Amino acid sequence: MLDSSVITAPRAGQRRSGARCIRTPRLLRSAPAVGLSCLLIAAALSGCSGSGSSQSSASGVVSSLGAVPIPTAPRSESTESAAPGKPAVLAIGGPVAVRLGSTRLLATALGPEQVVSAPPSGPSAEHSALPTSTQATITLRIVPSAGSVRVLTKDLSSRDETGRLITLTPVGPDSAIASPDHPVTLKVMGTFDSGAAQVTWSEEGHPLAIWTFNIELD
Amino acid sequence: MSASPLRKRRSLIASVAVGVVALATAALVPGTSAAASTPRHDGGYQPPKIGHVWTIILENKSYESTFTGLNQNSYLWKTLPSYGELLRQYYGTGHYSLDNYISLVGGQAPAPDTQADCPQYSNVSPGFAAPDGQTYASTGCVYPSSVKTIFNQLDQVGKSWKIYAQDMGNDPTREQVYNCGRPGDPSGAGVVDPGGATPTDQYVPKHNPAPWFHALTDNPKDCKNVVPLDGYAATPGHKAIPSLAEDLKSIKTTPAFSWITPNNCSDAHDATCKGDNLSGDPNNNQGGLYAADLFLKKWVPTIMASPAFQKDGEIQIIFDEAFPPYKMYGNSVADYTGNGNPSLNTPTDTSQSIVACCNELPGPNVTQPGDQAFGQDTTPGGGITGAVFISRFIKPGSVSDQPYNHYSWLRSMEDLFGINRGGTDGKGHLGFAAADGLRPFGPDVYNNVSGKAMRPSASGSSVYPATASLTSPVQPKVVRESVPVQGR
Repeated sequence: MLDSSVITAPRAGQRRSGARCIRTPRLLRSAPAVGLSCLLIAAALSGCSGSGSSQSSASGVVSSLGAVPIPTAPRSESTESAAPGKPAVLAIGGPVAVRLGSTRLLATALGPEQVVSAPPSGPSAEHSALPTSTQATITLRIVPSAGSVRVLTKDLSSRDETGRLITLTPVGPDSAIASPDHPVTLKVMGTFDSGAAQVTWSEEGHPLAIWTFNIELD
Repeated sequence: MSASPLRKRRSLIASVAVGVVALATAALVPGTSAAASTPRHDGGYQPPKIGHVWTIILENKSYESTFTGLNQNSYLWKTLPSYGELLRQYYGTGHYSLDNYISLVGGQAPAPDTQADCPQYSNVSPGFAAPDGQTYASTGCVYPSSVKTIFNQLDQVGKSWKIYAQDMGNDPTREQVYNCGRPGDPSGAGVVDPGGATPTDQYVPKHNPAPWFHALTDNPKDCKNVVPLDGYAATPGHKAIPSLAEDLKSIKTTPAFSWITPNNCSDAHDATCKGDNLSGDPNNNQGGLYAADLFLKKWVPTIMASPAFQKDGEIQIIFDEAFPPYKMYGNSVADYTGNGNPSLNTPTDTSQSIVACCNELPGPNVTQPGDQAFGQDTTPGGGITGAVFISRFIKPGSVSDQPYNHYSWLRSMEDLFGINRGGTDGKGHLGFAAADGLRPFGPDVYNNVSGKAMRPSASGSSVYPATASLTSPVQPKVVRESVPVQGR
């Protein structure tokens, strides 16, 4: 989705009186810093611009050719949703709102926390091959807003980009019951090659969410 | 010691504010035209007169990773291309990181130790000149002073420059903030080169192009231009170093060329960050392209609000190299079985195939252009990463399918800044940037020569196919015409 144009100078020949943030509603609503800037524009246009010659040149370009619109990021991303039979595909770290019967919860997979994340340093590492695989931990966080659900580490599975099944083992408890008063975090560990992989969370065999991630070893 | 978070926040807000004020003053100043391009005296392509460039370099992502929705990076994937151009065929030159940075700024080809990210910071040996502006570098990574960089060339033509490296100097025991960010003395056996981040210092020298050239590290004046992104408090014998945000407040303090190296978190390198990822949540350590998006959301608007950008600026967001997953791009006829590491010789290699771009040649120290990493088949190189450029001289939402690589980038910057003497070819191009037939960024990139500011438009609004030569007519497929911000 496009953000609206942000700041445009008045058209040539247009009457220039007072400070204006033309066509800037979204920016001004969403970015306090730039909203503050708009107030400062008013100050500047009331006689305190203080521009030097090169600055004037910049202003002249903007006046004659227009201000290049500035892309502001959306304030927040929408949350994906999922249910049995309607899984969501996400990047790791992305939350998904899951509906399981009367249970409502937010699920997020985090990581990978790699045991090896950089090549070894020092003279002994010279001319040696870079590591090609590492152990890494994936964390599943379940935060119910209504109802409760039993979460099992065996409901997590992983494959790498070649389709190879990655064996995951629990780090800590292998199950827990999550409820609104008791969010749950479970961890699993696997050995991954450098490259892309995914982790899937299923409930009673039905995939709910698939998170993609990368293993970086260089 | 670095600037305090409060000071950083204040300076950032001040920077945005001052930049926007500068835009507002445009209303009061009679028009000045941004210069359009004019034909070059030798009949070649003359880029528009872009006066300020910011190159932000990110890490290790294939085009598919970044620009197809596989990751949490909608700002880079969706938003920014609608304000500029997506270069779908932009390639790295090698694996892993360091050789790409050296190719970019010096035109030097990957060498054995630069391909391995130089775990020991030591001088190149033997360091003799080789054909095509290359250097014999059978070991080591720090090039002799005879090997020049784009930064030395900018010095020669009187153009200002800075390298802004996030976190550099946070831990003075890891890197020397007043000496180009190098990890120590590379002479003799050299010193250990820290390859990974720590919770308080996520700077790594291998992502900063300066420490690898004696032509920079031996010159204190040049090292003064290699600074921490967020500034640095005064220390005995040294004045405080201003931040990028402070430098952007006026054209006078804005370098003509700014190279920006985010830390190992903000450049998308670390999948899980060792330290701060700019989310503001100390419990959020998500890295990868999610963290890079946070960095870009902070800095791209700040740069674009600056008077220098609005006058004649260009932001470039590039990657050093592509990591899997790759799309299959031709040239893959069989599983490659010659990898030094036998575990990479797997039948699944074909799904990861990539090709080197732009007639990339091997340097004198290796047998192929770029390391044969990730079990890739047939043709090495750095892989397709894609890139996004934003400027008033570029139509928002445009896409180029012209192949470019890091040597093209170097040649383009040399041409853009009027460096037309010396170098390997006598025309100002260093190393492999001087290769015959190498294409600099052409009219498919600088497709809005008038400089008239245009409204954002969905990526793909105009698509520029590859052409046989730089002077061939460019015939874009236009889905949606660009609309000026000031009427038609």
